[in-house]
Amino acid sequence: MSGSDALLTFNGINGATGRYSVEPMAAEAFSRIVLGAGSPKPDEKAHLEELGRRRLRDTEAHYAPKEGIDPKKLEETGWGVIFAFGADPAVYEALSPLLKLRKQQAGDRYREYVGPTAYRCGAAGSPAESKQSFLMRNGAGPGPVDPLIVPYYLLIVGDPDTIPFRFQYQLDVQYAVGRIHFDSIADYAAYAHSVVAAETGTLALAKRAAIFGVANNDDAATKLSHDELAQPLAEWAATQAGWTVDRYVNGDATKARLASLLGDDAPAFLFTASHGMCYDNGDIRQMAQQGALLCQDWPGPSFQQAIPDSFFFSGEDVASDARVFGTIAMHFACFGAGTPQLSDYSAPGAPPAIAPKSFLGRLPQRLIAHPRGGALAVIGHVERAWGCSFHWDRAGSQTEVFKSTIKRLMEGHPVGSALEYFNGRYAELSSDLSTALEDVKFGAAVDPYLVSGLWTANNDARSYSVIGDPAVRLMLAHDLQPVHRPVLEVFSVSDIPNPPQQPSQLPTATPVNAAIVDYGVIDSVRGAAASLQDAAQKIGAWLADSFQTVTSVHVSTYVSDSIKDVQYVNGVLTGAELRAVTIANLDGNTVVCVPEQDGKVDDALWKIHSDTFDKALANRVELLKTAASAIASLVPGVKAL
Amino acid sequence: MTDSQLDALRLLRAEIEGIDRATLNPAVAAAMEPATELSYSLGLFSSVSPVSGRFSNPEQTVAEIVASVREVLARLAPVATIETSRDGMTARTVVLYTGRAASVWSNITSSELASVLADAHLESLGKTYALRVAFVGAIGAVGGALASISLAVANPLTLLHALASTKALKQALERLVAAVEAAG
Repeated sequence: MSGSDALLTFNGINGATGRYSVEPMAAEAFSRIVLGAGSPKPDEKAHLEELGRRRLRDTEAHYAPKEGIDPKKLEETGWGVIFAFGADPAVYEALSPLLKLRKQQAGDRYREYVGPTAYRCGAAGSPAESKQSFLMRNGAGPGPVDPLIVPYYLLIVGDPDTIPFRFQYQLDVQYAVGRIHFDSIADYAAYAHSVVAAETGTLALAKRAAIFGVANNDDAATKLSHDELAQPLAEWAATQAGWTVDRYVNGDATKARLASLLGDDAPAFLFTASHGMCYDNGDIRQMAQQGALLCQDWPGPSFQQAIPDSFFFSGEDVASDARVFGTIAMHFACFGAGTPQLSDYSAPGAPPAIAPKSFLGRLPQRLIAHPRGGALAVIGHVERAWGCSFHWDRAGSQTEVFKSTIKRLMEGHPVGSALEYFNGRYAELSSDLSTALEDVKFGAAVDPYLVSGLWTANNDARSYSVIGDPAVRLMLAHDLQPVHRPVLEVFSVSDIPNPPQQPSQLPTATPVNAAIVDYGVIDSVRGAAASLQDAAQKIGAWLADSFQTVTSVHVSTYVSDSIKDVQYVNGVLTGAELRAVTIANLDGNTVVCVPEQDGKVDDALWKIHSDTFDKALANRVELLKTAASAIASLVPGVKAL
Repeated sequence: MTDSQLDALRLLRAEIEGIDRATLNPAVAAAMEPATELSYSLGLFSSVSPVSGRFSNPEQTVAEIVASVREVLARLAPVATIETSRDGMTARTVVLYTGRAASVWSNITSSELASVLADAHLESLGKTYALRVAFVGAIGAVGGALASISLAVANPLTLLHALASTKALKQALERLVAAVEAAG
């Protein structure tokens, strides 16, 4: 396909209408969108410069952190975890087995970005922190990764509304980044449990891959991904030494088959290429089913009616007894990894909302948090996936990028490192796109297909994301080693390790060591002093954490006819009627929802609610005072001999 | 929880703050500890005399303190649930110490009963919050004392008294651990 009159086709089927989520359009029309949206905003300039540096680095054939660092060795690359400022401590607690393991593996190159060093989400109305700003605060500038400062592997813990996808894309240019977010604490614990069990237990998977390529009738997008992505990948993968490759193409890519591949017959590596399901902004099915994989069962675009569940595979289809422990999956599909609140692809002006909030795909969430042993990671696409990205001749063959990534996975590279080829591709395409847009700016005539192709390929490469820890890898059976995929015991909330290990960052650093050296105290006392200081620092961190989580006071009041049936789940009481809410933020914003009865304010309930809120607020004030006073007593200089 | 728990915790905090203050006061240290318990060589302390046995194993005492600190921090639950019942009516509040509170109340038709239940429940809620503040205060005081002791052991003038403080702090921490346990 070439020329300005060519029709561009897009992946993604609207589940409510059965129609394409974006209708095919001429390259020229599409390029007008690109030319309007392509000029970098001021805050994107630094990112483009970073991409330029990355491009320069890649042309020198380095796909790694700084020279001399082996991306397969965590003790060299380091590993870090990024929480959002004010993150729920219970999440930290649930992940503690994984954090402990990574700390052992990465040694002094292990970092926790929590408390003062955590990611700072934008307060209401203000922008969220950029990658440059985050790195600067933590001592790193642009350029190759120096794991002594900020580790190469970085796990983001938090939903994309709090830590935006944009931050993840930007960080991923130089670092190997993954993300996890779940609705329940138990899922965090289950994922940590799976990764730790995979890397310290008996998991040894057969070297078996499956390529699942859908080609729906009369559908140009899946014909393209089937013929030019899935099929070539299947042929190539079969040539990889020691690997068995099962192909589910030419009509075999049914939902039943996929249920088996993500059920009782999971391969070590699964690649799928298909449409992803999408829904209108706010559709009741959107959160649960957007990004679900539309299988061969869909008769094609002639089926212009709501898509039934039997045509696609969603998170809800992952069986409770599925055996996906250790699998790594890669989905080429719209919204397979997640959905941003605002569209990445729109005409000039404010981008339209495509979802009530940004969120991760339910299918990858369900796969990696499976309580009997989850998949270790899912590579997927945020926003729409673009068929022309691997097809368009002038952008070069995207199949090579896929092959290189999969080859690294097959060779046991951590998934974040394997995905570097997409990041390099993104840098390359961004550089080319910037040049093309500059030409347009200076009046040059451009081929609309060139610009739209570059733009789509650029965004496509950018949007591949790892859902999971970027340091996980396929745990494959070595020669002569028996294949074994254990079933983990079902993980329940009560299994979450207790006690929590508190974040280690501290606002305090007493000048004790210098004093010890000056006075030459005996070794045993010196050791004792260090231990005491360490304990004091732990307390300082704990206080700082409780201080910094005070960003709002949120009081909800419910009523119920049967209190014994009311359950508390994730901050919400279920089985009761919510009647009043007050949220007071430290920035002064306050939201109040007043209960009514028979058209009037329910005074009795409102009084109870108000009194409860007053108590909560007074407590926060008191806690702030107490914590601040305690922290002050730990600040250097306050205590001096 | 009871008022006596709260009072005990406040007293404990005051006691720990006392340890903190005394640790860095050389005058107090000099008055309390005879110099004979230290052997002094070339201007450096080379050992701590086991004469009295009081300071024969400072590492163990410190290890116990560190373990107690960990235990206290670990045992402090991030969530508290308060439930109050009166005449078959119930109110329950789940408090997350990160700033959230969710309460559920029985549908009550009698305003008198509602008032009685509300007063009782809110009083319990107030005490729960107060206990948390008291724990934070006590833990903060422990941090302060630890920082003081770690400085004091580095100074010949206060070393011995710092070692005495570790013992006092260890005992105070044992009571703090017990208080955390009692608070559930």
